[in-house]
Amino acid sequence: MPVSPSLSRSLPTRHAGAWLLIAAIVAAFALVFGYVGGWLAPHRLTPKRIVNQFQKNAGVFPGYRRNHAKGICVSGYFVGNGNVVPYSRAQVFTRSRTPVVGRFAIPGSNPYAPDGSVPIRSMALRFTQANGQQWRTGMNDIPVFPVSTPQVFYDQLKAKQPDPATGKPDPAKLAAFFAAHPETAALRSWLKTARPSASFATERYYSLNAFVFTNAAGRRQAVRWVMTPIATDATHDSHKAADPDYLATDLAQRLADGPLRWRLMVTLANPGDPTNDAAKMWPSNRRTIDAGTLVIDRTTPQESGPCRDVNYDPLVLPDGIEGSDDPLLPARSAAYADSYLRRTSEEAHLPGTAQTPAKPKLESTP
Amino acid sequence: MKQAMKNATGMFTLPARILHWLMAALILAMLFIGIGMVATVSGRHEWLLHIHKPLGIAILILAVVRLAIRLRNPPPPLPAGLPLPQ
Repeated sequence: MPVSPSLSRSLPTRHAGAWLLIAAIVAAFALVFGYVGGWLAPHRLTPKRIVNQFQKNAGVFPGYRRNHAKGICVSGYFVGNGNVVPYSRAQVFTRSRTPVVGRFAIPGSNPYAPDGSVPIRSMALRFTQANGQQWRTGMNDIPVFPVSTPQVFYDQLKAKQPDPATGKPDPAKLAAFFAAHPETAALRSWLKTARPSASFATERYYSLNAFVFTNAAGRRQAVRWVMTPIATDATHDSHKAADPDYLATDLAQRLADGPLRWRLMVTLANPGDPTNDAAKMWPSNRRTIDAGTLVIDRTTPQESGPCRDVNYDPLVLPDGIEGSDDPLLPARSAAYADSYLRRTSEEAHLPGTAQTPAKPKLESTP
Repeated sequence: MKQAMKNATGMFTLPARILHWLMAALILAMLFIGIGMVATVSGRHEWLLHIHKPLGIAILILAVVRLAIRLRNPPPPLPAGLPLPQ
């Protein structure tokens, strides 16, 4: 369509204001989007940065969790006894049986690390209630967490990053971190006497973070919990150094003799006990209630077991349990989701995990 | 011009217009909520996630309502001078 010279000259100037306004609005949206998404806020701690730091410290092992990478699937059930029903209306606590898919693991990002390389063991559980709601929890056999906030957790990871020259963390950096964070003292003094356990079965697994129970009347009660083993023949690992996977061997041996049991002990906070600081223990005289028994009767390798594709996000909770104001909880939830996204998107490319061997065959058939 | 006869006003119906702008606002909000929730480790992660899921379902339902409105009230024809690529 021919345009007269006068029209083509007047068009841009006549609408210049409008075009500018549109450009400004688009630019403003882009800026806000960039800020919200973190690209324009480089100092904000994001789930990605935390997970990236785990990868910097230990390398990338495709398909595996970015922390607590070495583990083993277990399954069984939980038998509630009704004792905590006055505090929580969650179905799992009623006199009933709830199926459980769990996972034992050791901290660290290397799925091939020898079991004796760290003194800590963890237990993660997913309870699936009859009403379909789930309770997921990730616990450790330490009574207190080293740090109180996600930022300090991240700073600790950075302080532990191996020096490329030695392959080990820089002792000066670690010392500086611990000096700057006296809240780490509680766990460090506990770790001084801790030896790597020779068995998952004999450990006490603590919730670490505080949660809030809500009962049928809506009354709220801050709690922590610990899974207390029935098996008490705790030993340390010094005599098992020959087998780097002694925890899995021990678990299989014990399960061959019969199921393993833990009591779920729920501790009720007194008013004023801190719920937002996992680095602080509550006084030991707090009321503790036996809520039921966890029975583990089966184990499978994590590469093919039912726990592989479970994200043990501690904020997946049934009605009757809520997260507390502990800032570590949403950070765990966000970082676990990022780790989950990474490892599950890698799984498809790993031999033996997906239908990768079948794919070329399908493609070659017309 | 069957459509033009059915749609004598030459305008979208009021419900269609309300829905259009409501959904525009919701979808824009979803973009920001979605990008924000994966870029924070604070408590905002939790509450943004708890908005994101039901809002997504709401948008899906509204899209179905939108289709229903469109089928019952055919839209006005496109302006005659509209270039084809648009």
